Amino acid sequence: MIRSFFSLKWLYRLSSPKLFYSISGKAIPWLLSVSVALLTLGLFWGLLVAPPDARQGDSFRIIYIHVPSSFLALAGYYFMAVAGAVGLVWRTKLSFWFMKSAASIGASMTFLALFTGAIWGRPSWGTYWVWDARVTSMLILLFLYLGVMAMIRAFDNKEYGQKNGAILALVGTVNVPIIYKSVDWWHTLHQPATLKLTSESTIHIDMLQPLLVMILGFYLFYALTICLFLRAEILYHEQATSWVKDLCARRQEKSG
Amino acid sequence: MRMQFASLYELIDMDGHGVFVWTAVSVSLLIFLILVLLPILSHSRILRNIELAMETEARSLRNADVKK
Repeated sequence: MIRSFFSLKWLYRLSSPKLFYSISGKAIPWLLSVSVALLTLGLFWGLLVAPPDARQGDSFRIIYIHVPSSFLALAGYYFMAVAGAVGLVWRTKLSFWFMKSAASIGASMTFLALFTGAIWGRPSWGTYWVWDARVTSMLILLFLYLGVMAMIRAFDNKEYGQKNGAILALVGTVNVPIIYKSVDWWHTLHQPATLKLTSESTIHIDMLQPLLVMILGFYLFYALTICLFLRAEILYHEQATSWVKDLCARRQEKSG
Repeated sequence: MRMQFASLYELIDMDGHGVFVWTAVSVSLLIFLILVLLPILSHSRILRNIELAMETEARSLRNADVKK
């Protein structure tokens, strides 16, 4: 069992569009209900119950959207780039479609991180925007996402576009550690990381708990949207195959 | 769990920070809604197109049989 898990055969089988389509179809209702429940709980907890920040007052509550969306913007970039690399090496169709889906969702998350950051900046920094290392490198991340999205769609030959998009995504990964480290390498207005894996976090437990709930909720929501986007991609690209036609025929029978 | 705000007005106002917090929350909810609806709509549009194409194909096959 454990050996077969590490042999990655399960992953290879999951890269079959048909199998992924049927498994994700079953997973979507679960992902939807659990992520909505977590996000509702996290927002309620963070906005209404958590104590206000000693210095920033109630404006700090934006953290409950800003930090999770930034997490997903960065992690999502790795997911996208890894999918692109897998597509380039093993030529699995599903990886490129995953990359395309992850690009749209990641761009939305990056926009959300920048937008909530700007709104948070007004009460705490006195300005919506600064050309500060963290903010600027995040803006570059948004442009990289948009670049990958445009590259995938830029060629009549779809395979060519996907390969170029994957290469751009891989080159752009150099930006992600720069974003992480920007608050340490340069003097920035942006505060240093709140959550750290290697040392103690600089946030009180009462504020931390709802934040962790929100982060988990965002991750599950990300998984949900990946499934939704990928299923549309699969259906579009596989419409000439027999399994999609069978699926449609069964649907027509059901609806009469 | 104890609420931080005594009244609905205090919750909306948040010591003058409410406009920032609630803008951030509502824009996020809007983006989340779009992220869910967009793929669902395109999924059903693709399904409809495939089914239409299958119906047209079936009809033309039937017509060809009649002509014979």
